[in-house]
Amino acid sequence: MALYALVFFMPLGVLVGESVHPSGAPRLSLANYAAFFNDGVTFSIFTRTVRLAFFVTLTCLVFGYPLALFMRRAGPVLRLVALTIVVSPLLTSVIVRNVAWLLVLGREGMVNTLLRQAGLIDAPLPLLYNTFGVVVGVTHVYLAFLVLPVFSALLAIDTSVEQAASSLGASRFTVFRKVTVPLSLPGVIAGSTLVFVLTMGVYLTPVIMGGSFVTTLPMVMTDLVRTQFDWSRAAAFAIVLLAFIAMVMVASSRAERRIERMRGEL
Amino acid sequence: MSDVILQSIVKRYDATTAVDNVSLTIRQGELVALLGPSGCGKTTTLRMVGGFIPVTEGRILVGGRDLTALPPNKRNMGFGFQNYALFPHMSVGENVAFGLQMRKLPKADIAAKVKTALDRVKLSHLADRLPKQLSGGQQQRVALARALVIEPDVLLLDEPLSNLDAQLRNEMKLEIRNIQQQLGITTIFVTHDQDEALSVADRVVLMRAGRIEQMGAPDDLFERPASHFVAEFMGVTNLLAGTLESVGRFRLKSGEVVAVPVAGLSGDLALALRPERVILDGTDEALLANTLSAEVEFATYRGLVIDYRVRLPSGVTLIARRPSPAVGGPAPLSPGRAVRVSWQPEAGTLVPV
Repeated sequence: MALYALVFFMPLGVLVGESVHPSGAPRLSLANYAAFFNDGVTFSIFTRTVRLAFFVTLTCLVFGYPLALFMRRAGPVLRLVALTIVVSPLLTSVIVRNVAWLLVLGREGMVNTLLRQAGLIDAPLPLLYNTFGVVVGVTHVYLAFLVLPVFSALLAIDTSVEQAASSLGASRFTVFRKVTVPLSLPGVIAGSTLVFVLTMGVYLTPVIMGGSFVTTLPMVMTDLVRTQFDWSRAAAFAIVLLAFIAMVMVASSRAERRIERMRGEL
Repeated sequence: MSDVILQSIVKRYDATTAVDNVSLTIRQGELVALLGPSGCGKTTTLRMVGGFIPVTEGRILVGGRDLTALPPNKRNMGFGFQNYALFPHMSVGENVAFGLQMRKLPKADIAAKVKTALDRVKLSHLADRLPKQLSGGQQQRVALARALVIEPDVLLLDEPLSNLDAQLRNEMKLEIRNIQQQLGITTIFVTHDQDEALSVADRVVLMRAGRIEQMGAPDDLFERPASHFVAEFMGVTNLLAGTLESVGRFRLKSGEVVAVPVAGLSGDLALALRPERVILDGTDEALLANTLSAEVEFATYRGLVIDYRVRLPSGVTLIARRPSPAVGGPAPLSPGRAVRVSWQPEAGTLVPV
């Protein structure tokens, strides 16, 4: 236990210590934290990173929830196939995965070529080096983190509860809206939080799929360390990001607890 | 009028036939128990009536209307699930109100009906509780109120008492019967417990391997079983194989010849004899046409009664049940003791094997 605490908290302590010793300043200072909000760039990149994480989470929900529903109904074979497809990006190298997307989404990529051959477009669509490209790339790999919790929440729903709603006169859509969705909410919250938090820290995918047009906070921090050698400021930004993520997690677990309390499970 | 008619219902899954040509008419206001061991097709039949499982062949009619192809939400049936299936995210009141909301009733009507329904099961004071906060018996009552508040044409109950403890089960059994009679609602009640079926139903349908084995009034099945299976399921522990030698004379496989009631049967038969009718060391010989000597093998004390297993010289064993001393019965017999075993001919029933 003590070892875990040491390994876990020591780097954090070092990081905090580093962040309040700006280079060039003789004493302790919060200048780096002030810079996060006041340097005119960082905070707007931070809000754009939040926006990106929000889009990715939404996209994961739009594609992941129906997939989890399908997996719940599917037989064991189809379920395994779907599971393998969803998890496979996690087992693939991030470079291979992103280069594959470049081939698919690029100006001369598969999508544009097909659309052009079909006569649907004249000029290639801008699918890469923008937020869209990054959302696609990140969604691809993080979909599993949404699908798995939602799937397990759906599996935990007693089908007879849905049948009861149906026998009481609810149409299939009403059963879904009034019973299935509310009962799967804990899984949705857990999965969305996971995807959101992971996207806040994503680095390589926006670098490859966003070119220099999509900047995320981790990219800023890497830049600080690698080209400006400003470890101290990078550390301060990391702490802010960490604090933000911690807030999101707390909010999410509160929401889950509230749902559970509403059901009398606590 | 909501007579329920099942016309030659068949349910097939790939290679297996779960329900095999079941036809049944249930009159308005009647309570019919579908009884049978697990896997006999009783629950599948109920779920087909409820619309949760599509039928492979046959038709389901309620009040002359063909419901076979309709989804559950268009059937106007109340379904009571074995595990109650209450909505865990809604209060007791919201659970009961659900079906009325689906019918788009005005709010005031809903509130009034929910109140009446909860009053009927004596749970109005718990309307704001969540299902998780209720006991099993209370949950069962909420489920019942929820199923009945929509004024269904038919009430379908799937093993409604199996998750309750013995005392509560008796109480709920009476309550279900009571409410059913008050409302005069046509009801199908699935159970594997013969005692439950006998005490609650107007008519019992005993199923076996997807088919109806016998149906009739509770006393019909209990006193006049039509087959070896029915006799066994109805708790007859003594089933002695043999053949009719002449009218009223039955030869057991083991050789003994005993007197039996006259029956229009032939071939391989079994003599069904309830253990309560087997008398040990009886005194009134005139009433005891069948008397054989035997030896007590062992005794099982069961509180109100003691079951004795006795062995005839030919090796055949019988169970005899006597009141225990606790209720004024005779002193217990110890194993190894020689006894006379007798029964009246009318006590036995012949059934085909």
